[in-house]
Amino acid sequence: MWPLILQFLRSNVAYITLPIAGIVGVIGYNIESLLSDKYTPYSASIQEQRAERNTDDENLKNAADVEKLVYRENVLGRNLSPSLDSTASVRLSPVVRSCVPNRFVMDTVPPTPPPPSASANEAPPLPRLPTEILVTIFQHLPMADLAQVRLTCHHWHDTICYTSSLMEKFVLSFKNCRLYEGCEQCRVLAKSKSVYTKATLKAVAVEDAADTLWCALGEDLQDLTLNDCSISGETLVRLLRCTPNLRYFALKTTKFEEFHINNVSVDFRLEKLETLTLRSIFVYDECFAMFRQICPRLKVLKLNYSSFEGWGEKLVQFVQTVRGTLEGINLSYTKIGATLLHKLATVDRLRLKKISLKSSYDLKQRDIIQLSRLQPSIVHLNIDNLFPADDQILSEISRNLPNLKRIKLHICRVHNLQQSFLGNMRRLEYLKITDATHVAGNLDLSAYENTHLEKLYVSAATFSRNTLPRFFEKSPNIRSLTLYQCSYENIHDLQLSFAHLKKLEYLNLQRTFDIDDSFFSRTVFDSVNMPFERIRFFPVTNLTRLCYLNLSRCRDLSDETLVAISFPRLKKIDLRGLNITDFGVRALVRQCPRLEYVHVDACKRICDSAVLMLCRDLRRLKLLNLDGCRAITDASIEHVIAHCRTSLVWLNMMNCPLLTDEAKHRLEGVRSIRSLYV
Amino acid sequence: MSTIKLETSDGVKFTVKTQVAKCSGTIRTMLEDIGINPQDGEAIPLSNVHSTILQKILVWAEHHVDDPEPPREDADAAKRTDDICSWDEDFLKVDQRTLFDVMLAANYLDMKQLIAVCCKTVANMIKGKTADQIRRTFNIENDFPPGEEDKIRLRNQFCEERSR
Repeated sequence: MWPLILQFLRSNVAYITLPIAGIVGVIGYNIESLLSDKYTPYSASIQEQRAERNTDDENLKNAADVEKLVYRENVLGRNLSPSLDSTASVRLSPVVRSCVPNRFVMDTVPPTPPPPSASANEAPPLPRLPTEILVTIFQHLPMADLAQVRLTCHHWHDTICYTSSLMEKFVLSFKNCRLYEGCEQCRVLAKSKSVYTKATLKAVAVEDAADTLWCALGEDLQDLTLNDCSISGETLVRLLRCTPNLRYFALKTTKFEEFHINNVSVDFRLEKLETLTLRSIFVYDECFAMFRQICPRLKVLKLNYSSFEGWGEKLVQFVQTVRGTLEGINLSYTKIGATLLHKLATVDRLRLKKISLKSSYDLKQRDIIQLSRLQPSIVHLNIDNLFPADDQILSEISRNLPNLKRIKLHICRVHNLQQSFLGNMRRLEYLKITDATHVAGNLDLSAYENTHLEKLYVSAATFSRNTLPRFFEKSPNIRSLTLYQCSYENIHDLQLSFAHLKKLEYLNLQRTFDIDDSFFSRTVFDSVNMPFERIRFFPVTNLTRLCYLNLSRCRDLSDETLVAISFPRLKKIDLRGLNITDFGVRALVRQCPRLEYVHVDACKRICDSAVLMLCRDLRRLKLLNLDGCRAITDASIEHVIAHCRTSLVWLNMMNCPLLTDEAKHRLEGVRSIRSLYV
Repeated sequence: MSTIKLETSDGVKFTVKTQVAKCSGTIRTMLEDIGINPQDGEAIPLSNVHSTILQKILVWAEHHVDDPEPPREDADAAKRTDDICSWDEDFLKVDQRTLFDVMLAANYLDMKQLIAVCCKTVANMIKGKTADQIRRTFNIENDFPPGEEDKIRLRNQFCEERSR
């Protein structure tokens, strides 16, 4: 008997299961509703409480008793003329008084009913605000507005000039001028009460120490940059003597007329100087000799882009002097050789933490290995663009520098990156790696496991199938990801990776030629046959924290991509050279309203209406790059002038042949623009 | 619901819910630390606040009485002025004198949130204007000695925004 029933059930299982499941479900549901406690604790939200309070009170009895209806003057409007103003307040005052008792119980009526403003015949001057309130107001303003505010009156001027947090927004800037005793700058700034903490001099001929100027300013300066200036050694020393509180000093591309530092007595010290930048100054030995005497507590020395031959000994002496405090040294783009690096690394009691040797081509692999042996305290190492590292050097470095937090390097022909290098790098926070081989699978990160990793930059690698998702699964804290000009055996690997990158804030996929519009589409993925991964699929468009997105030169992307992406927090986007039109830009401004930096350079199909949408609908637009948008006309300039009055700071409209010179000149009238390229 | 009484500079007495009154740091301190007992029926004197202004402030306090504490902003973050909620925006659509009086009273009563919102409103009124327009907007007298203004203008020419 049973076999028969079972046989019957087996053959008709499709028709029996559903009704039985339904019956079981109904019974279960009813039992649960009988047994369980249906009460869910509920507390009203603030909004609901507020709405309730506003409706159930007695207030509603009187329709006139709505405070917001009483005053209807536009707060942005100008002050009315005195006569109009007094009538206005007379007209208003009875309304004000009549509604008072309804809302709050007023016990005694004052003996003199009219409020003070009603009796005055002319507009009374506004009350003087206390300084702390003024400072709070001014903290919301950018420097351009503060400059106007301090022109209004004595009180406001002094409030700004005596408040260091406001004056920090001002940077003194001298450009293309001559500084000498009695020059305009001296006369104007010498008796200034303002405290300037930062100054930059660009293309300035400092002819004379202009003592009155530097005595007036020097005490407060913390940050001073001389760029492309001409100055004599003596003048420089006299200048630095006036700035005892300097913390950052930079001397770039400076021509010294004569540098007789030996004749000048250096009888002062910049005890607070932390960072010294010397770039292309041609007289390094003299400078090292001088700064040796005056900055005893230097922490960071930047010599990048310096071309020099003979500064070996003096640099070593300088480093010896400041070895107790020196932590970082930047020698990128220099011709530093093996001997000098060795001498620096062997300075007694020097404990370097950060060293940058990018593109210093005279260095060889063995020099870096030696450095890593001599300075095991290094946590930031930049050997980018130096030589392609192989397994041997990688394993040496990883063994000698187990505490590395940042490394930038090139690799070539590694057999097992995990075993030779990554396996020991447990604390890495930033990894920048360029693959010089162009062989698929040369760079395999899939075995690397590091929860500290926050930034990853991979350039020119070819990822073999299934390696990427496995890697990202084990590095869940990556916030910044750059995959520059990488290629993929299977592009879906990249799509699947985003399931593990929910914390991503910065995404750069520049020159990824493998992706097209379907990469960003939600629907296409369902048709791809991937039985297991599909469950974990998390489209790139779900990255809600994304602030930066770079898709420049991904040549197969078009408007469809812009329609598909919607990142509410996105601030910067780079779409250089994409085949996009006004249609895509319309979707972009609608879906990413917080954009501040927009690069659409070399998008040849963008027209005036796209510029209008960018200028009008992005309220926080700070930077707009339209370089090489060949289709835009003068109408675009009009849109910029009409809609970008307050926030736009940087604008590039070069290589747009349809723009007329006349219209370009009109752009100079937009006050907020600081950097204009037309 | 307990209430307390407040007396303004012009002798008007208000009866206010204690919870609403405690939006003011000054009153809260009086009640909690100094131990003024509201049940005595004696009004707390607010000698710097006029009744019209206090009434307006009480409307604001009643609306915002349940607001959570604002998150502490770090000082470096650029201060925003476009995040005023629409109720406050409507509430502060008043003539300037009232706005300034509200600000002064809020300062006296120590109501940080109200001060912040007023300051943002005033900052928005200043943004993008020239010095002359600002003076006209706020009815400010140009009290610089002759020549001084030109000097400041020249100084402004030597200044730039700090780039981050």
